[in-house]
Formats: sequence, C-alpha cells, structure tokens
Amino acid sequence: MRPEPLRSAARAAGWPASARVGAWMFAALLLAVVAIPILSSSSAWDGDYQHGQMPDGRPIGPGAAHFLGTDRLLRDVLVRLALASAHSIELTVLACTLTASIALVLGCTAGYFEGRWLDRLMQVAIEIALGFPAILLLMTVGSVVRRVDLAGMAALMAAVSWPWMTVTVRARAAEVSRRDFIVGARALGARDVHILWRHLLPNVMPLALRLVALTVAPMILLETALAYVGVGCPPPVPTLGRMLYEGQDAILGAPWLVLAPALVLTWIGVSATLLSNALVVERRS
Amino acid sequence: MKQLYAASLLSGLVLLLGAAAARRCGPQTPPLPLTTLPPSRTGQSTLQLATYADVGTLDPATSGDGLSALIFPSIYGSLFEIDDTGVLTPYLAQSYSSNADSRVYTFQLRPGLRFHDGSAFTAATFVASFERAAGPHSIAMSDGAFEHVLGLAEFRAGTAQHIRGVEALPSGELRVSLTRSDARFLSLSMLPAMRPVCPSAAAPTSTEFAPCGAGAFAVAPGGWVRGRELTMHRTHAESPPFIPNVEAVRWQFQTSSNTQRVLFLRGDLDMVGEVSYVDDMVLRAEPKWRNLLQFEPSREVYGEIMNTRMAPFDNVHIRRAVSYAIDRRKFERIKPGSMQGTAFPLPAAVIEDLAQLPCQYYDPTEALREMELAGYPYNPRTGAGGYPHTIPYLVYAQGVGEYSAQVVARDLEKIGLRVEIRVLSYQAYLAQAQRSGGSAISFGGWATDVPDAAAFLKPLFHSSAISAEDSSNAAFYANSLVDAALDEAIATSDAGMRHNALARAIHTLCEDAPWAFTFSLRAGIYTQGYVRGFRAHPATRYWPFHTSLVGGAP
Repeated sequence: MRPEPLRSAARAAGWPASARVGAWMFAALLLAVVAIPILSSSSAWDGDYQHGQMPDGRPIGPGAAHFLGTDRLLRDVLVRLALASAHSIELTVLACTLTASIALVLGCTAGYFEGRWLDRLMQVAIEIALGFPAILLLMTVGSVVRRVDLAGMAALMAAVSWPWMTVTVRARAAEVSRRDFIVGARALGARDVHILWRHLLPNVMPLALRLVALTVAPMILLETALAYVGVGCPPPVPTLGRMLYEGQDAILGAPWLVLAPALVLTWIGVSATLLSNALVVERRS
Repeated sequence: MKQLYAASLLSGLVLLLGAAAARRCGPQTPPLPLTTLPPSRTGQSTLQLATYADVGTLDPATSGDGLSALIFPSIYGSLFEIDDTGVLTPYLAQSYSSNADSRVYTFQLRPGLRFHDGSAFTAATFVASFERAAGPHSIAMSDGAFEHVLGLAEFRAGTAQHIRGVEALPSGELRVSLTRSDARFLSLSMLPAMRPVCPSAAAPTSTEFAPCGAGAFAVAPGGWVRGRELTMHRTHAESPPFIPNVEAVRWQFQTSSNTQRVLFLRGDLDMVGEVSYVDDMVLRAEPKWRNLLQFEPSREVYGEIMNTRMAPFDNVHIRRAVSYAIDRRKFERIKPGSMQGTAFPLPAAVIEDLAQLPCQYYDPTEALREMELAGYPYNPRTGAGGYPHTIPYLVYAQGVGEYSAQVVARDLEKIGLRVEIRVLSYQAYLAQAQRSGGSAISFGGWATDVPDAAAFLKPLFHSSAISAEDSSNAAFYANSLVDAALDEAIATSDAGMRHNALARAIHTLCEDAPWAFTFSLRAGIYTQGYVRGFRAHPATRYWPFHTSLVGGAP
C-alpha cells in the first residue's frame, strides 16, 4: 500500500489524527509481517548452528547476523516475531468475527423479543457466562482438549468474549425495536425474521463494528496470555505468548527474548486501540 | 492522545514485568531470612551447600528421593563407596570375598568403628539395621533391588523372624547369601537399605526418628530443621576421598536457583550445582566465575522413547529412521559444555569400557532409506510421501525436553515424520508416557543410581521392567537377546564375559532403536575461589569430593 492513498483515504474519511497514527502503525506492522519472512535469510524454525551459542552462555545477541538476536534454540527472533504477529492478527480477526457474529445473533434476537421468555432466558445465560472467570475457563478447556488449532482457539476466545458484547448489542437492538419503523413493520404483518434481517440488523451493525474495534486489543492480550500458559498452537509454532514464556527464564542474560515480543505486543495493542478511535469518533460526529 | 499513549506504554510495561514475574508466582518456599544466614564464609570450615529440593526423611528405611541418597554417605556410610575414579572402595567394610558364582558375599568389617550414639558397629548391628529397613513399613526394598537376598521374601511376608541370607558370623564377619548370582551386589551396598543406622534408632514409622549412623558426619540434636536446613559435624579425623575435608557441612533446602545464585555471589554458599539457564548465563558472563566452573560427568541419557507396541514405531525401520534422522551435533551448539549430543545408551558415569562400541548415528540418507523400507517413502525435495498421520510427541512442561523436542521435530519432518509436540504437566506426562498404549513417542531421560551399566540398562530395556502402568521400560521393548545379555552381565563376575554380554545388549539396542539416544546433560558446578580440591563425584550428583576450604581443614 502506498502512503499517499492511505493518507488521503484517512483524511477523506474524516479520521482523527490518533486514528491515522494507528492506521500507519498497523500498516507498518502488516508490511513487516509479510516482508520479513520473505526477505530474511534466517529461519524461524531452524537454529543458527553455524555460529552456535556465545562463549558466555547466552544465545546469539542482536547484530548483523540476527537483527533481534536468536532464542535459546538459536532461531532468529525477528522472523519468529513476524510469524507470531501474523498468527496473533489472524487469530484475533477470526475470534473477533466469531464473537461479533454470536453477539449479533443473540443480542438482536433478545433485544427484538425484549421482555419475553427468549429474552429472559438469554439474559440468564449471559449472566451465568459473565460470572465465569474467563482465563480459568480457557485454561481448563485448553488442558482438557488436547489439540487446539487456530479455529479452536478462536472459538475458545469467542466463548468467553461474547457475553459483554451481546449485552451491549441487545440494549441497542431493544432500543431500535421500539422505534416507529419497526413497530410499523410489525403492524403491516412483516415476519420477525424479515424485520430482524432487513431493519434491525443494519441499525445495530455500526455499533457492533465499533465494539469489534475496541475488542481487538483485549483479544490479542487474551491470546498472548493463553499461549503464555500453554494453551494454543504447540511449539515450535511461534506465538507472542510462547515467546514471552520461553524468554522469561533468560531475561537477565538475554533481555531481547522478552523485550522484543513485549514491544510487538504493545505495538499491536496501541495501533489497534488508536485505529478504533476512527469508528468511535465517527459515531460522535 | 497523550493519555492514550501513556496508558498503552504503561500496559506494555506491566505486561513485560508480569511476564517476568508470573513464572515466579507459584508456591515457593520463601528464602531463609537474611538475619539467620551466617556471615561471609571465607576461611571457615563449614561447607555451605544449598538445593532446591527438600529431604523428606533422613531414615534410610523410608527414603526414596534422590537428595537423601546424596546425604546418606556422610551420615551413615556403607560397606563400599565409590572413589573419585568411579571404583568401589571399602568404607565400613575392610575387605570382602565371594564364592565362585557370586551368590555368597562375606564382608570383614572395619574394627573399632562406632555409631554416633557410641555403640559399636558390628555385623550383628548391621543385620539388625538391614532387617529394620526390610520391614513392612519400609520403602527401601520397593524397587526390588534386593529381591534375590535369601529369605528376604519370607521375612517381608512375615513368615520368618529373620532374613536367612543376612547373618552375623561368630568370627565377626557379615555374610550375605543370594538366591542367584549377582556380580554387581557390591554396588547395591550403597543403596539406602544397606546403610546401617544406630541400634538406638527409632522405628521407621516413628516420628521420634533422629538420623544416627556410622558415617563421618553426625547430625547434632536440632541440626535438622525439616524443610529448612541440615547441619552435620565431623565425628572423626579420617578423610576418605568421598568425604569432604571440612569440619561441618550445612545444607539449605528449598532454595531456588535464583536464591542460590544470590547467596553464592554474596559468599554465603561455597558452591552451587543447581544452576538454572539464566543463572548460568549471569555467572558465565563473568570470567571470574567462568574459570571456576566445573562440569560433572554426565549421569543421564536423554532421547526419544518410541513405543514398540504402537504404530508407527512397532515398525523397526521407522525407529531406525528416527535414530538416523536426528543431528545430535545441534545440541552441542545450543548449550556447549553442559549439553552433549550422544547416540549411545549409557552416560559417561557408567560407560565403563564400552565407549568404543558403534551405536546410532546421524545419516539422513540412511534415514530416508529406512522410511522407504518401512513402506513410507518420502521425497524431501517435494515433501511428498512420508508417514500420513501426525504423531503426538509428549514432553513435560519446564523441562529440557520442551526445547529439545522442537529440534527433533524439525529433523523428523525432514524424513516425512510429522510430530506434534504436546506439553503436559510432569505428572500427566509420567502417567501417559509410562502407560501401555499411552504414547507412541515421548521425550525421556534416565539417570544412574549406581555406576553400573547393566543396572542402568535393565530398568529401561529388560522385558521384566514392563508393566501396564508406571512402566520404567516406557518403550515396552521386549527382546529375549537383550534380556539374556543383561541377565548375564548382572550375574557374571568375569570382566570379559560381562563386557561381551553388555556389548551384545548394546548392539541389539542400537539396532532395534527402542530409543533414539539424543543427548546427555552435565551439571555445571561453580565454586568459590577459596574452595580447594573440589572434584565432581563420578556417579552421584553434586557431591563434593576432596573439597576443603582454605584454612578450614581439620
């Protein structure tokens, strides 16, 4: 993506400066994630056995051969970071999409049938789900289900994220459902499915998108936390959480093993949060 | 905007610190309060050591952990101990003789020896101590090492009052009779059950038990604070090579690796032998400590345990392909010094004169050929072929296997074997890896208790070591040739026959490849500059031979 169109598009859309910074940061990250594995001659999977460990017992440090050094298995940290970031972004997009889908279906249905048994049933379900400690639930499920692939992880993350988003969507859907055009459609004998799909959903969708934007950063943190405790793709697949886990034991001697993934994590979180400002501010305006 | 940035940076910092700290948040014993620590140790004659473990009991009859086995030689002694060259040397015994078929051993005990409670050490007291250790509440016999002692089964079953095979002769000698030949019996004398306790010692089940033996160091009343520390004082001036040449030894228990490093750098520990990855990094960074680093001989062999009863490793060609596919030199590059690639089933501590025997080696071409013979040809250029299923590979969390498995997985991928690493808790790993049908391939290791090659191999590869649960033969490997060769090596006292029998067993194991032997680990020990004469024990972990402190020798 060339800078000019990006800048023009952002300005044309009326994005605030913070959102534009977020867009830049995210674009830079995506560029790095795609380019580094292609351009780098180092491997994310095989160690640099030619150089080997440094005489003082540390992995190879940042330098010409390895820009961000190597991990304890002498694998290039930069390339592994790029793959881990790609993994995180991919998983987050998947989990957010799944969460939003669940929230839209349940929230719109509950809001549309406000006060009826279906709504009451869903509210009870939501309250029960909100009462569960999310991390504990995910760790338990992750340790029982032996193999958790990308889709499984997204499902797990969505399973703990849908309640609060559903609550918000339901409130909005209930409010829209009381408006004249919905009441009118009902009076004219339109079917519930038709009203939900054609009238309610388009009015709730902008809110859902904003909620998704605000969910990105917490989702990435959640994914990292899960990978850190060992739930997720197994090694040697690089994930930010796993890199933090593997690097922590060496933090005094090889701080880059923790600093690099921590900074990338911060970068993703900040860029996603700033980017979400675009949607939030747009709403206010 | 500024607030956003500040909040983001702050959250990143919190995450970073949290990541570093979270691993330390588990249930750990707090380090000893600084006020209770002794002053700087230089020039004193109490050897200060620490370990992350805790000794559950100091009673040889009820002990089963590795740490107590390390402490027992000092307190209790035994008929024979290993000297600094790895040879069994008489200690509480003066000499011994055995009959032609190694079934009857007669020990002449050292005259004039006394227990710490003042009573004389005699053959009769030894017999009483052994019978105490063989009692119904004892776990010292649970590994079956003494099952061939004559009359032991009847004694343990309660049908005999004494063990017929262990008797004090009128001449003052001790005689041990066995039901079958066992040339390695002298090695067994170092196991806890054969370390004599004082006649005044309380019963194994009693909470009143206090450590009391005939060894060079005695534990004074109050010298053992459970979970905290143990202080032992020298009882006589004699200093055989396997006893440190100091007036006292103080162990601190449940001391984490980090705390050990800090105490060591402060001069409050004379040596540290349980150095974690990061502590090793910190210490090695300083030339002063780097020059004082010594490596123990390896007591362990690690590798890939392939379940010979489960697909695809029930096919010997697949197992051989694995053994050829692993490039063991990589491990030496990852952690030079402490990590050593090995393709041999025995560690350096028990290798005897078998090191020259050929065994497994790295040969990717041969690995691909074996895959073809197994019926799963693989083209490494196109990635076509290979074993069609992904194989779960079990490792335990926070162990070296979590990392070595990643290296091995890459090598196996190159010959068309795709493994998926599953990281389990140690307990879950043990339960699954040692259960029949529990795991096709797992990471595993084995450490020696006594420096004996046959004793090392038998629990791993003898068919008698197979059980449905908790099988020490986790490959569930059964080969009558190996069984016969190991039995012969254990029974014979003829060095040549023993060598040949072991060579036959090792040759078959290398060919059949129930394990792909991969690497061994050597613990690094850092000593203070004033520690003199330290030499790592050839068989026992972290035990200071010959050690004395400047100005501290008695």
